[in-house]
Amino acid sequence: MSEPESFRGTASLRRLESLSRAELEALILGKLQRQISRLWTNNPFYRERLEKAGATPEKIKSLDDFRKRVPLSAKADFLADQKAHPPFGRRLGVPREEVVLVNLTGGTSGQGQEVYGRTNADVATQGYLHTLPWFMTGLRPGQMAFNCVPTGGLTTGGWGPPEGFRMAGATAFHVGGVLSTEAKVELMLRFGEMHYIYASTNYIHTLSEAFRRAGIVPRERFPMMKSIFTVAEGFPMEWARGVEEFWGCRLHEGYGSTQGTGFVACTCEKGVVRNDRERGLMHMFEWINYAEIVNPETGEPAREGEEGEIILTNLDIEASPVLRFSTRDRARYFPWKACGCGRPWDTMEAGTIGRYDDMLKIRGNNVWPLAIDTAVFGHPEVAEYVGRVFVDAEGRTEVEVKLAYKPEVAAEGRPSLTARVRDAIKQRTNVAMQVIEVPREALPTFTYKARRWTDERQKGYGKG
Amino acid sequence: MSEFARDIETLRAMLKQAESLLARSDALMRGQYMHLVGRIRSTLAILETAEGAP
Repeated sequence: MSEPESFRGTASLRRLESLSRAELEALILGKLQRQISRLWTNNPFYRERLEKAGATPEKIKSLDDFRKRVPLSAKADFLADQKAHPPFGRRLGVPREEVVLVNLTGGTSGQGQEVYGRTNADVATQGYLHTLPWFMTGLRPGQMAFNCVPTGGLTTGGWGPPEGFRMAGATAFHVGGVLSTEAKVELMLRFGEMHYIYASTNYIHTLSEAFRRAGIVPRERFPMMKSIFTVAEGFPMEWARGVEEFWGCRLHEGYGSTQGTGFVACTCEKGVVRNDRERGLMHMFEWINYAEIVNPETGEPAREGEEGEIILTNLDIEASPVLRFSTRDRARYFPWKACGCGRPWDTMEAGTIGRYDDMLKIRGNNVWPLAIDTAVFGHPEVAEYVGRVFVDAEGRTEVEVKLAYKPEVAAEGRPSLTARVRDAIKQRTNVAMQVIEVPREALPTFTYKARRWTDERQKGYGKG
Repeated sequence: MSEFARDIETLRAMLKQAESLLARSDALMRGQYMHLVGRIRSTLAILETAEGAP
């Protein structure tokens, strides 16, 4: 397997790599104090919350003070702020004329979308928070990179990568969402040289299956490959090892979000398969985004190996910053020493990021089952339904909804009704799903909490 | 002098010049200079942090 150039000793990271943990925490605290002072002065949303909590800037003298005094903020708080002060809310914090990019979180309609304004400096930071993890995982100026994540639109995921690849000096192809998989394979073969791929876990699987069907082994065809960088979805270790073997390069992972304005953490040189058998660790860029991993019941920091919720604070972002934002993302925490690379940056386990709510990430869309309930049960003829997300034989993510009608619903009307339900789901979630009618007895009866959805994708990756 | 001290001095001077251009700009050039100022500010933040300054 080819190993890309290590980023160890890169001048602008050298000092950050060699700090002691205590020195890094002092740096983080300094930036936190500066950000809190800035928010106190310029951001009426946070000023009000800090005042109510008695968390004046002078009282934040340690990271412990920060955790104990500064209240959490959540999606519901942001939505309420946006409703009371449309469209950005008072948490924008900069004059509206300084906003040059608007990002919305990828929520389904009816759930509410958080609005984030970004200044020019924020857009540059957003780019850097893509360049940095890709540089750390082997991308260098002049290399050919294929971005398989759709660009543009309203999400950070659509805008950060083009900026990030440009700032990395890479020769980038933004092929996500515009070319079929077969056309992407043709393009890669036509240009002949490929060093770096950025794609979701699901898409790496789809792309690998396409190469297999074409009878092409990428590690032989593209021996210059440095890394594949994955994002968004978990994966089994066997699958990750298979990808590395098939492509002849390391598989890396990053964790990021709109709230983080890009990537918050990524694997170091060791990748997602560490020491041949252990799960990799993603180092957090704690000097740009301070990510706490806390027990959601107690609010206490997770201990080594424990799962906790990621609570996020931007240290550099000017517009619509987050301060102790409750992401509802679930991660397993490991301190910096667990990696063995020597860098003092704390970590979260690769391949196992999950959720504390029941949100599903399907083809890049955030989908809440409640939104599908609304679409389906908006048709009173429906008695019950279940849904599953799975990977088909060709490696594509598919979604199947099985529904049953009430007995009094006339048979001849059912096919067109099924089509209307399918359209309603697509309109509400932006995800096309197969909808099939089944007999009522084929579906469960939920007596307590309805758990209608199963996600079988990880089982599907294991078949490759 | 620390490793990036000279770069930081240079960027701070560039920022001052870019802000001055922005202050004097017409509506057509305003976006160009806003972009420049924002990019310099972000790069300065990266290097200042690399040097250990909050």
